[in-house]
Amino acid sequence: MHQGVSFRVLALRVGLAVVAAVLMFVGSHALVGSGDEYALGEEGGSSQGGGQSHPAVDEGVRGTVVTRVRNAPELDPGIVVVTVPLDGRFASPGQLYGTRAKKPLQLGPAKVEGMTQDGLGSRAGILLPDGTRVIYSFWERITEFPTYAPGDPEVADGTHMDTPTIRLFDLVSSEDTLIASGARSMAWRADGAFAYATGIDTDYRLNLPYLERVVVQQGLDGEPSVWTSDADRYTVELWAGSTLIVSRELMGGAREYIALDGPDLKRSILSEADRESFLGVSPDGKHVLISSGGFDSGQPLMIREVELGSGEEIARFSFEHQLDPITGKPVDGVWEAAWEGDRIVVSLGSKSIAVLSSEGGALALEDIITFEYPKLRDGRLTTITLSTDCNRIYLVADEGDASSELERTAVITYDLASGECSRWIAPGMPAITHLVSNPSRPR
Amino acid sequence: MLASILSTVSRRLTCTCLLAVLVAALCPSMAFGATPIGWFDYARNGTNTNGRLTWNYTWGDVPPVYSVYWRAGSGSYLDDRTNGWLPSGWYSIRGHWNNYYGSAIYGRVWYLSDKRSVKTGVMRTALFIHTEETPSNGQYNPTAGDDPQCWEGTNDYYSYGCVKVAYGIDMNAVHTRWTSYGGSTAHGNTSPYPLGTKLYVH
Repeated sequence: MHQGVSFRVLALRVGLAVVAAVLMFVGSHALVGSGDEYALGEEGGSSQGGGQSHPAVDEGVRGTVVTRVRNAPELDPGIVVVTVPLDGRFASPGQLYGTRAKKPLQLGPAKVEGMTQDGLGSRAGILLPDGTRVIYSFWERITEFPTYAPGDPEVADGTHMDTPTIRLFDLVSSEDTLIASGARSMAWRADGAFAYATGIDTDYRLNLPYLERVVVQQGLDGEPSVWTSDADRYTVELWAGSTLIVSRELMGGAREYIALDGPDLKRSILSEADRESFLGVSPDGKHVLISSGGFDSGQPLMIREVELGSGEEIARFSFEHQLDPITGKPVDGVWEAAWEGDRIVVSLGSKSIAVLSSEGGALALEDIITFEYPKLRDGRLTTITLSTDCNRIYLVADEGDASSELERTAVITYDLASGECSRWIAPGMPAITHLVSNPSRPR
Repeated sequence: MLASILSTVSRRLTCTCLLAVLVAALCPSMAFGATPIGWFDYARNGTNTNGRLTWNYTWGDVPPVYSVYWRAGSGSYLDDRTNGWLPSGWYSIRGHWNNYYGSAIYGRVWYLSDKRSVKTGVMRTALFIHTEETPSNGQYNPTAGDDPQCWEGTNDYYSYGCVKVAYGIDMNAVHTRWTSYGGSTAHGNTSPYPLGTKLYVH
């Protein structure tokens, strides 16, 4: 009799465990949706609902895991993107998308092979304040890059490989014109101050450093004024009021960020070699955001708000006790920031972003948002942009199977008020997408 | 008597053969009378701090391939367009210095060719194989935090795309393999550099 009761209790427990397991399995699939659906890149606009909040990641701060992402057939009206087709050679010019463009517009000079992005990774394009013109980076292809593999064609060091150019596309007339040849990386300020870096040699030549000088001109037709008489591996980042912020690549890949207050008026802001990173500037251009510590320093990961002119620290926020909502591991790195009004959004890596507020000289964490859907690759979310009303976040995410190559990138739009999230991918050939935005202040 | 002699000769012959095989195994160059040909292989292993740098070499460009490996790291994130690990594929070595004094790295370094990522189209430049040491191959640790000329531990495997190995035994071994087992004894970045197909990243 006793053995019979024990057996029934055991059977009941096993049954309950099976039911629980089935419920968990079904529940998880209901939450994350079908991987096939995303693998096929459905573009029909089928809704999968909104985001989902998870338990707090730290006292007083909730962590949000966004698992339901609507496939948007059209780009959000607030943004414009440039695509780079993944053709295997990066020699097919991409297109411009966005409601301002009304239809996809072909970029690049006719019948010229090239890549509609900067070959060294700086901002791909900027929408000028009148909203009808885009300046963008275009690398004209001269020679195929060598694989260096045994038996493959060898290319001698010094061979002319690409010609970096900056071009202008008029959304009204569809006219595409050359602005500067032997030039790359750019910044545009509201008053028309146009900064870019111009190469000592027009072409990038294989395994020779592409040394550049930073120049500034008024508008597209002004006379360039040299702001760095020395030539180095410069990249123009953005305007912060009257100060131009540029970076210089150090041997080893780290960058030094420099403030230029005028021709050869240089101030070093930070060096990544000292385990600090530049994140962005405040809406008034007077303050910069810097990250320090984290994964490779043994120090707590921190964001600091610093006055650009004096270097005085205004506020700081430590991520020391913050955990990633999905992995449960400490947040260990911060990369880039968008700052509008009193709201700041930073990229954390591991498919996550942090939303902070900056009020009264204090930085406070509002939320850590993690995006999780099939095909979203583990990695950084890039080109973070905030709408001017601070309610919408735009970013670019890498997609593809974890074990395979990058398949494409998607533009993610997340509404902070409603929690709605949508994803847009360029139709046709898989492509990398770059948001066309302007981080300079004022813009 | 004859049987005893034959037995002794047989034993000595066996010992001699075994000794010859042992010598050949320990010193393949003597066995083949050829010069070594070597190359690096860096396996990223899906991690920034726990990859593997291997020195592969043959004698006279014939099998077998001998290998020695060390723990190595690259990048501060996975595959991306800026600070991730270096792109996959083959690289040439553009130069090698024992006492390099760069803007951020120092000591024993191997300067890698520029590489365009086949995934993103973005080019990575100014990358090296190195450790964290002084230009004279020592250690300098002036602060309680991370110092660029001192190997403090696991966190030092992170980089801005370079391949890094630990200071001390690992870097010493990497350097020995390069100079004595099919790399080059030359320093600087003039002839015989660049040396093609000297690093494979995957």
